[in-house]
Amino acid sequence: MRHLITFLPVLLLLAFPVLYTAGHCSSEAGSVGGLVLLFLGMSASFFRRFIRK
Amino acid sequence: MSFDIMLWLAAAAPVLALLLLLLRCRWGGDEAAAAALLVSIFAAHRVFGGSFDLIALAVAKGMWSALSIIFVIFPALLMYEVSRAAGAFQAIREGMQTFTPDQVLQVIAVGWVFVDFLQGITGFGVPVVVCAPLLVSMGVRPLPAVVITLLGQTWGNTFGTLGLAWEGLASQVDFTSPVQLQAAILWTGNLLIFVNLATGTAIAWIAGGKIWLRRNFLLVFTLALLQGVGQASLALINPVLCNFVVAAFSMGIIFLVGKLPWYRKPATLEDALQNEAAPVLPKQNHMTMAKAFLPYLFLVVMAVAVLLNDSLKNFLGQWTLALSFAGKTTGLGFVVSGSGAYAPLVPMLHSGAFLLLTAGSGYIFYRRWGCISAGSLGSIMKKSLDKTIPAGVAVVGLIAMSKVMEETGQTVVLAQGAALLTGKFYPFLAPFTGLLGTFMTASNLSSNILFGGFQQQIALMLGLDKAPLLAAQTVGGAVGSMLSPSKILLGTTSVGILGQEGAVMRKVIGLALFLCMLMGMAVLLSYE
Repeated sequence: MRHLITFLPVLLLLAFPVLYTAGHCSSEAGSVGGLVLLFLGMSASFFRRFIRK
Repeated sequence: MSFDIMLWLAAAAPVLALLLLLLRCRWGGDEAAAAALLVSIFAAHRVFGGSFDLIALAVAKGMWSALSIIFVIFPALLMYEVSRAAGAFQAIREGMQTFTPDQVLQVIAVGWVFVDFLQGITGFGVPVVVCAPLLVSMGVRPLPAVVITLLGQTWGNTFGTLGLAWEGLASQVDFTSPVQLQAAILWTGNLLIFVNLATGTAIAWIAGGKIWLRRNFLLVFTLALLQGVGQASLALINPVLCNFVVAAFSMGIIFLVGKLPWYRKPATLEDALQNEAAPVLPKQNHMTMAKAFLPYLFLVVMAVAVLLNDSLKNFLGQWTLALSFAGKTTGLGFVVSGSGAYAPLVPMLHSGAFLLLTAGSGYIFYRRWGCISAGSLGSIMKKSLDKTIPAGVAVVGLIAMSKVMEETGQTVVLAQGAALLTGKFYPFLAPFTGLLGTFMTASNLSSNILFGGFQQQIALMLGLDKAPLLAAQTVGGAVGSMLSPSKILLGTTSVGILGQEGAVMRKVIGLALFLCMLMGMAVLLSYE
């Protein structure tokens, strides 16, 4: 689990093209998907805090 | 302009959430940034009528802009790890004793004078990431080291980085009248004199405690006056070079001051500042102060040579990376124009490129001199990357938040609301608008681009002379740079105290607000 969390920020690299493409194609679903990827990518420290508790 | 309190509160929510989480809840910068971004997206979608595709593009713009900052963080950390592995910091610590045994003067020299010298030519947080670890190596605790460098770089923000922020302001407003232009420059220069005096005094106070008044008052006062008046006078002739010239002159002065008999007497740092367990590796056999400083000297020479040489600058500036972004409109009718080449990144002229070359050359020099072991490159890269990732996540969150707010009209609503509420007393708030811009975007330049036109519009609306308001905008923005979470993150990351951004902010917020209040009063009184 800890190992997986370490790699969460990689999702930020995936989020960028998804957000950019979905934004240009006016795709609401794609944009939401990109935002979910973004927040997953930013959530490593939240998960670490959760595991510590 | 009309005022809707609910709209204004919704626009203020992301900034308030960020401040609350950092200052009150003591969250780390990465967690607070993610939460504040979520609040800004919620407000953008539910209150400001921003569609998800508009928000997605705003976040993508934020991520693109954040790349520019991350490009500074990684090579700066690389430079730090290379110097640490080679034992260069221990050599610098010992070498500073030959400059002067007065540790307070050492801190003033690095944390105020050298910081501004770097701000004059590079900017983009480079002074903080370079000088905070240097101060730590000299025996200063990490948290005050970050605070000192943040204070030290403040006054150089408007005319530093070769006058970039000033040029940004000039590009947004109408300066066709030379009289108006000169008045704005004079106002800006004069306000910066007080900012410089206050930050210099604060640094001397932090470093020396109560003894600073006796030992360093004359030095700080004279230097602040020379720097401030020098910059204000030179700015009338050349706003691009004024800060750099004055900062270079100050470097010479501080070097001579160190030779004075008064400063040959040992003086120790304030107890709370001393770091007995400074995280430095033992000095290697061949390492000297000159060798330890060589990469930093290389950085300065390279930056000066490239940025002051127009033909070289144009040659290296021909390669740019940029993305196009489509225009969008929110449900409330706020229009975001499309851009063919948004925020172009010029890799060869970027501060990160200079830092990367510095780190690379430092590694080669130290390796040749036998100060660094052959297999250490892997561990240096790993340590640098491990520190860059959380800082990068936080920067992405913060810049994305500012872009979402900007592109859905939240930032404008926030500033317009303040202007409408205060009416003829708005000049008092003008520096705070500049501060807000830098707080959110981590850049005095971006703050001026964001709010320069707005301040001019307010001056026209209230029938006021625009020069004091525009000066308050850019100097407020300069002061805001000490509060900017992204810039604080650069410092905390570079000295290994990531997560303590709130603690740093608590130390500087009082001075930043006090300076803006004083400037606001001065500008308001000038209209009476």
